[in-house]
Amino acid sequence: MFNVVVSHSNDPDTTSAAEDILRQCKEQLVGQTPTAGLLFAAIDFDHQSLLNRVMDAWPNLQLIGCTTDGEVSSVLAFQQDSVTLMLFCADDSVQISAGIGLDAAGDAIASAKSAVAQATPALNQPLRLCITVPESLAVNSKAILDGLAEALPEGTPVVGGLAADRWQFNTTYQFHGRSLYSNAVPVLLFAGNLRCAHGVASGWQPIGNPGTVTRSESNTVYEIDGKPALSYYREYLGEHEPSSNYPLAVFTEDEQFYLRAPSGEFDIGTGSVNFFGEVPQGAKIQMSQSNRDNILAASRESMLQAIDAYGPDEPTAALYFSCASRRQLLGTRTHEEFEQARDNIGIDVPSCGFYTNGEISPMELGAATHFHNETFISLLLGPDNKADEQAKH
Amino acid sequence: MPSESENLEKQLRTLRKQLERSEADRAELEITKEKGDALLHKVIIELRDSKKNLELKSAELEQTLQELHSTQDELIQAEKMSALGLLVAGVAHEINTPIGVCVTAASHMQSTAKTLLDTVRQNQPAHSTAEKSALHIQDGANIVLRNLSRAADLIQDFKRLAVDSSIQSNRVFNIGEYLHSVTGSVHSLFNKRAITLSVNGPSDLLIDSDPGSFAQIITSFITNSLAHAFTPDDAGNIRIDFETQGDCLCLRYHDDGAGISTENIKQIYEPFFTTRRGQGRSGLGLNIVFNIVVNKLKGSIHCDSELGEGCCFTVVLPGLQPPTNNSEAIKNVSAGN
Repeated sequence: MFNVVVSHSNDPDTTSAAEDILRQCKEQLVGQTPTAGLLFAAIDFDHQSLLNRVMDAWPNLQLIGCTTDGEVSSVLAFQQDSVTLMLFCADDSVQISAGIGLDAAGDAIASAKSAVAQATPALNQPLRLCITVPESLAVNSKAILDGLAEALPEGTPVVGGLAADRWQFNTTYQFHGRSLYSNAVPVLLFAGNLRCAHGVASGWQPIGNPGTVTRSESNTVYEIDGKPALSYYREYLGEHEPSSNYPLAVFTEDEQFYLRAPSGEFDIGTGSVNFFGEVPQGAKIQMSQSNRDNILAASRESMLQAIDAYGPDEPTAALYFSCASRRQLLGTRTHEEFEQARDNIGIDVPSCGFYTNGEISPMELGAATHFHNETFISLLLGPDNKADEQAKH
Repeated sequence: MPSESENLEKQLRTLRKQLERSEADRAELEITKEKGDALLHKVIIELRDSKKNLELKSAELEQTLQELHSTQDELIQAEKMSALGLLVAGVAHEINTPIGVCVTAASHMQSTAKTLLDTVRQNQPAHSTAEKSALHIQDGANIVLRNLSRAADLIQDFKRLAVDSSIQSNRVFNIGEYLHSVTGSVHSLFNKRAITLSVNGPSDLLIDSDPGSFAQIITSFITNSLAHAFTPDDAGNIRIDFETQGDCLCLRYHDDGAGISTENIKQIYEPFFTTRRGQGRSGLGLNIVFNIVVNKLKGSIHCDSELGEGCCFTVVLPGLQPPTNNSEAIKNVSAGN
């Protein structure tokens, strides 16, 4: 048994919003007790109060979540300043367990490892999936992924998005049970008879003259082509600050590229620019950009990849992690991203997600996990019936 | 369930928040748009710069190409002059022999004449001695005349070849005779090598064409065979056959030397293609032949060869004159030594 329900409220008042989502969930649960949940909430809520309300309703709930830059669900589609809660009901065939690692800004690897260590003891079946929604500001996201990869069995897919704060880049929050954190790495581990499939696509393309990162350290780029990184950005964006909707395309040796978005932090004195994720020194880079049609085409591609990988059965639930920069550029067309998802995946499939400061997934299941920027990640979940049948025999 | 007033309050809260949010979003969208505009502006400038760069590069390339063409023309001219040089050297070598014979004969005649003169001055010439001396002088004069005539012929050939090589003009000429003149003048190239050279074809075949070009074609074929087909110690045969082929002249140049690989045969007419660059070959010889045959004489050229199987160039040229009646096959074999 693997059931999923979703609730969503756009009431800006925390108490009313909490009542809203609890009422919606209870109506759908009809007496069942959920084992785990994901909570995505806009930055302006009283998050502690939200967590208390949810945990008061289901004290044993394995809950994680984070603050966002916009929320989506099958209940209210795309919203800003809203809160959405997805609850999982499962018997022993699917085990779900939450964990949290603290001080990700200090030691990201240790933090990620301690989150997994905390969640793992409750599971005695093979791990199928790790959902994570870590801190995005002032942490090395790649190091978080390295820590998770070290702690998890090889090949465990890690999917999720980095917590956001509605384009302010000041403070993001992570949730674990009743506790509210910053600089933390929450994980939700799924074990047992769970089937999952995902898709990932971007829609950003390099533009302008290529350059070389001549000095960088972890997430901070100091110089591009021997000049301050900030000057490079100003050459392209005028006097505007570097922002995550104008990421750098970082080229790999095989001429492929991945995107690294500025986190919004920069230093006028040294001319350095911080990014969500590491930018290697010596890398060939190029400014990149997108438009609304390309962004929406990529969202659709991501969903079709996931549907193709999942197979003919209808999934039980869908999760979406979409980059906040996509929302920035989509503007009034942001709602089309979720509408496409609903049209492709099915109107009845409970789904939710949020706009992130960075996305996490492997390129394909079983492969190494990557940290992305500017992407749309679709994740489909359902019971693994084949495993059920094999168990019966 | 919430009351109606609670619902209204909630709607008001939500709408207020949405209004506040959309104001903030609008400001952000404006900044995003400005960034997009700035990016576009910068990219357009970059495109304009790279267009300028491309135009500059293109002009440089054009210049380089012109220089290359000019260099190529100079090299082709040099190759032609070198072919002319070969002819001159050949003729000089050929003339050396009759002149040498003349010098020997003349000095013998001088000595005989001096002896006869002395005898006459002493008023005691024996009739038999005087006659002997006169006969010697007569023989000598004959030798001198014969050899001077040979030298005159050679000089005539040389004049014709030199003029033909430097002045490009059509005239009607006998192919067999002309080919003999050419092969005769490059005889010295064989330099005691065991290679025979023969020219075979009808004696009365006339063609209206540029004889200088013929000389160039044959000289290039022969120097090519001597450089590539045969090693200095090889014995071998070179044969030049010619016949009519409809309105055209068909000329086949064979050698039974090393042959050309299938891979190289595709490139032999390309300018600067040579397998012997390190040995002073320019790789222009067959390119010039190709240009003369195809572009200048409006004919065709084809090469059949395999490694170890010798080589045959077939050249078909227009301009053949209507046949005369007293056709007689000519055959001439001249040894390389």
